[in-house]
Amino acid sequence: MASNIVNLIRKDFCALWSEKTMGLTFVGLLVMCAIFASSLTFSSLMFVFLIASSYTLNVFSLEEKFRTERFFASLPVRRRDIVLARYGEIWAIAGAYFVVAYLANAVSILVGKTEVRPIPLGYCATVLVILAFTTSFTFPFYFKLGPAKAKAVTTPLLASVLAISVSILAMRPSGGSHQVMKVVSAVRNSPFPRDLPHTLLLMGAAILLWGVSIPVAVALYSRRDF
Amino acid sequence: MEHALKVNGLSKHYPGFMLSAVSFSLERGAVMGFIGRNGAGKTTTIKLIMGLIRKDAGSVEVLGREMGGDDSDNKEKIGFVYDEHGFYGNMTIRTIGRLVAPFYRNWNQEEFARLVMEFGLNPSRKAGELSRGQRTKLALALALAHGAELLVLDEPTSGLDPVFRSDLVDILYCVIQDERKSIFFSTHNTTDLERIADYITFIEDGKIVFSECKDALLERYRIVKGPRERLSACGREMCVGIRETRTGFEALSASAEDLSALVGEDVIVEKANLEDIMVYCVKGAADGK
Repeated sequence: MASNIVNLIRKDFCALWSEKTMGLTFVGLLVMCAIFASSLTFSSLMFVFLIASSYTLNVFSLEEKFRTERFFASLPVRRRDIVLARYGEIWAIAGAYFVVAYLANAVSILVGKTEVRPIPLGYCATVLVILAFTTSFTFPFYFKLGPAKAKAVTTPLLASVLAISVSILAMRPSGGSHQVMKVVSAVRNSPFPRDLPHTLLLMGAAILLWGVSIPVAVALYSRRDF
Repeated sequence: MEHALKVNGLSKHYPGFMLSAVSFSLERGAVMGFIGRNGAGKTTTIKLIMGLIRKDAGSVEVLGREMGGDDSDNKEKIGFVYDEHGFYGNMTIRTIGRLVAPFYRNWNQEEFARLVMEFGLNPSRKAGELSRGQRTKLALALALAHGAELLVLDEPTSGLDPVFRSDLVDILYCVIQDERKSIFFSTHNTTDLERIADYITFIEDGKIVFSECKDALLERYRIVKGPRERLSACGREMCVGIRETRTGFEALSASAEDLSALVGEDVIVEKANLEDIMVYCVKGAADGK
């Protein structure tokens, strides 16, 4: 069972990689964002959100384009494993992101870039929450409706989040009400927690989101007709 | 007798279509042709067998084990080939083989490579570059490389030229030389089945019309042709389906001798083929027979 999940993850990464432009763009973006993580800025977190959204969209779209869903559902694989593999891919991507981010961070510190600080655990917790948010809301739709219909539901949601993020970045200190600007500044200047309790709280939130989303996605996918 | 496939009372309801209590069985080592016109319920039945859609009622047994719930063990023994082959277009045949291999305990990589060569496929070619017929061959190679004991083929010859169809039948003919292997083959090209099928199951409008031995079926039914005016009401009763022109009639009958005796000497009695049987059964059903 666990081996099937690994095989399915491998299959999806191979599928993405087989589409050379898509695969290279994705890997390039992931590495760039991970290197950029050392800046510890709000925009670096925004790119994580973009990567997670684009990965989800691309992998499900490839399945739709080549109609592979039915083929893999006919193999000796449990539907639960197919769902778990998709979430597992996101965790694998998060893992790769953290590895590259910490390596780039360590190198920057070692070469003596004084302005670079070590990436705190709070940053990782925030990245996990972003991934959990993106996938927890979108995956059940993809598993229930298939990519074509799911895109119609999830794209407005993801686009709204992106629009809010861009607005936060674009807002000038002089614009908007005082209260709004206070919130915007707080989010922009300190987009992740710096203390352990808040970090743990965020990690808990990510686990909770996935903890609810995964059984829902499994139940929906198990009832899906191909 | 052990069955390779046993379907009992399988039902599925869709808006505008109902698969009603479909039942049939396929013994081990045999080939069953599953015929019916487009939209008759062939693909729905196969999807239900493969667990790709949920059944409303009924049961499916594959090699003595009931399907439903976790079917991964059962699917180890099934090779599935369907009309719309879903392979990633930019992956080579070799890569597809490597990706599918770990899902099967009995995968034989050498056998896969051998089949790919035997079917005239280039392992370095991408799936997206293959013709429809070549994709079917690839699907068949994947289905056979893990030692499947039951091959389920859903319209594998649909839209393919006669040469390829003949090739495929040759391949299947080789497969069934191994008596442990059984084939369940859905098609609306009945000529594909004339050579290899042992049993024929005919589905029409979501209901099984018959499921029986092909030879007995071909022996029983006859095409009767004669002048139209000779066909009495009594004669019509003996026909499964009738095609009439201004001057003559052509009918399928299971009691051709009685019919020819009734109609008279001017009739011609010919052997029916599967296509005749299918066409006249559909026609008879439409005429309320």
